[in-house]
Amino acid sequence: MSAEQWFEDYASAVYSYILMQVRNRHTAEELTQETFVKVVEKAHQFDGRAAVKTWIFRIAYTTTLNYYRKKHPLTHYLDKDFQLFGSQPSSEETAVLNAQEADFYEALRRLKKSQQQVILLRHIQGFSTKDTASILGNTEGKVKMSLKRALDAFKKELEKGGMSHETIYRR
Amino acid sequence: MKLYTDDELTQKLGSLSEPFQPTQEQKKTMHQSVFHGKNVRTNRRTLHWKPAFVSMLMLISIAFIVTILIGKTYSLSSGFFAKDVTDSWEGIIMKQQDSFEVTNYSIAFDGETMGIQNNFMGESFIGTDKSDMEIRKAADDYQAKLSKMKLHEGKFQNYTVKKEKERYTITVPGENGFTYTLEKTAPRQYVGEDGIRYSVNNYTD
Repeated sequence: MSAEQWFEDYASAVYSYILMQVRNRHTAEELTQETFVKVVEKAHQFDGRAAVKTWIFRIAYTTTLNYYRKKHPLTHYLDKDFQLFGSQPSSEETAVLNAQEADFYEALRRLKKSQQQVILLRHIQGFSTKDTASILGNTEGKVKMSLKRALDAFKKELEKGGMSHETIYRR
Repeated sequence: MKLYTDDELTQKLGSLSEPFQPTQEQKKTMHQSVFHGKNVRTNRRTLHWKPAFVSMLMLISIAFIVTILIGKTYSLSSGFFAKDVTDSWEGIIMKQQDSFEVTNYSIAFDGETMGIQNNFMGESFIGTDKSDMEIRKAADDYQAKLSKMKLHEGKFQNYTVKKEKERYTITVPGENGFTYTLEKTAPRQYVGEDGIRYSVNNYTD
């Protein structure tokens, strides 16, 4: 299968994965392009041990990580987002979300970046625990543990925002 | 308040990526950029002026503070961190230990005035067979070398002596002002920035 076919199949997923982290469409486009340029350059190195989507997401993950290391070192090293002077775009500016999606997205944004990653990959992009571990360069055990903690933290964030089982069905 | 079950959360999270998908136009643009090397995007990344402005302001403030702390001479031994030991140097007399070819300094500190005296006797031409021209040339050479020395004879008011570790900086303010840095090599031994070694008559701070 050619790199162009891989782009056709996975570019949208990669873009959404990156956009949910960087909250800027132009940056997400640039990082998606950078990811696929690397995919094209390294296509001959793909050994087929993992699924191609997992391999591409590993590249997308490291590309985004490098972006944060260079552009937002404080955010990267403290594993936390800082909304300085309202400079970050709101969820409405990032994507067209309904109220419930906006609440979910904002709750996700309030988690540590490492917790965001496991939820993004495991539950939003639908990777298995094994594939999530491959992408993040962790063990499956660590991913399972991180995911449990991340979901607990995510529920608490939803609760802080007033979301509950009852609330969701009233909307 | 009942929280979501994990299954409910998984279901809701699974559909959360849909609003973040690129448009067909965006996908086409990215495809062209990756596979045809065309950078067709015209929009520039938005410049957020507030963080840039605040960063610049912080940078200027830090530079300003550092400049004040270090002092105008950029010398640590005469800057903010240096200890002023001018008072303790009152009554100190420094004597040059070994004569250079043009100097043999004595420096006296009396609290208000620093007196620099050059006791170098000069070359004696009495009894030599040098011609007047050779003697004049030797005298000119002597004056030329002397003018290049860091210290010059005179009495200087309002001097200060500041200490940073083992480095001492003598500062003379005003139009004919200068700074001269010494390093303490032994309790009563110093070496000037020009390499001249001195001994002092008493212990100093």
